[in-house]
Amino acid sequence: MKIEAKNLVRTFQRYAALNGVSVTAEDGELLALLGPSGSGKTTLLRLIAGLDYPDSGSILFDDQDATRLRIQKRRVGFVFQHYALFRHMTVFQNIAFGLDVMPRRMRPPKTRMREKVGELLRLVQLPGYENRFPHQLSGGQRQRVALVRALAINPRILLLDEPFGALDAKVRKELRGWSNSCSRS
Amino acid sequence: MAAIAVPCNLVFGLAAAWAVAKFSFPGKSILVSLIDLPFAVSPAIAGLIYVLVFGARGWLGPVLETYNIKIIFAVPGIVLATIFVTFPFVARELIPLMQAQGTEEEEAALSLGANGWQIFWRVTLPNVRWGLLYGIILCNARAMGEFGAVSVVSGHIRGLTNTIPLHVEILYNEYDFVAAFAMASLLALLALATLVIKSLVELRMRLVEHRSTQGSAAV
Repeated sequence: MKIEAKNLVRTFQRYAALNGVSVTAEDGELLALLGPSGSGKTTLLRLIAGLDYPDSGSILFDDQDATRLRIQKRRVGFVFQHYALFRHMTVFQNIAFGLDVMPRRMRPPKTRMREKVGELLRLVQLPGYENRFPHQLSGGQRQRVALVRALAINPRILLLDEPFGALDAKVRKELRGWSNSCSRS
Repeated sequence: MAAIAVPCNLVFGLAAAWAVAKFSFPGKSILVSLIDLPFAVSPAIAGLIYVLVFGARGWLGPVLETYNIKIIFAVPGIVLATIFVTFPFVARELIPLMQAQGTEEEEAALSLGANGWQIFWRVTLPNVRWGLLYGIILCNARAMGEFGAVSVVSGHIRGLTNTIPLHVEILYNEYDFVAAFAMASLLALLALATLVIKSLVELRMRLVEHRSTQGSAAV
């Protein structure tokens, strides 16, 4: 899906986090935002995800205005900087959360959910981790759980906020290679 | 009394803490001050305010009388006084906890398509359950022992509007020392039981905290 941001402005108190930012990402494109901390990368991602709204400017998904669209309708996967895994839930419950909160008529049956979570965990090389809690995982493992949790709802866009920030160089390299191959497929 | 006052404050405290910790809105600092008000005001004054508002010669007294509703010198008055005095416990316990946890998990739930109700029941509430229990216990302890405010509004009608602390005072003033000390011991036992439960919850909370800090240290 094509994402287009036009002249986005977002001000916090008097500080302008974004001041007339325009970006376009083509369908299937893998786009990285680079910049020093405090330059507004997170703010831009939050506006695209629908966690926050711009003061002015517009966001288009496939040429349709999505600026004021509610986050639940955007079908955007968001991986947070600190993962934001639900700490009181197991890995399975974390990944299945997005499916579990669907309206009853759209919700897949339990067996299908179990299959899907198993599939996703194999994809990120964490098979059999369903019953672990987030605090029992390493940083890199948490990251991958956060990633497949966002993928479980079949998002149209996947947004990653500082996806490799909190990881050591070795794990970072592994994951970068993996996410490249993932976006190509 | 505690049986009615504690659930009320559970709901009020949870709602207030949620509003204060997770949202910013105009008048927030006023709400925070209002939460603390019962700590600052003497319970006896709180009781007198209730008399002023609901008493026979109070502002709402004539209205209440026409509908034959009794608040002062009746059970509703005691419950209202207890609610006021114990109001801060649950909210005060939860606000720092909720602030420390931030809104990231709620936002994650939002991005996964959950609605407000689902976020509250599945994410916010489970994350504060031990703190909430702790607040309830403190609230309950205070509700059982409250004397000042309740003394003003209850009217000391034995068997009808008497609480244990008030009964202790009456018996003591009547020089019925054996009965007074018996009642006092009963209250003390209840307090001890509350303390034991409180320590158990504290232990459990520390274990949970230990677990999560250990986890984040590994990142």
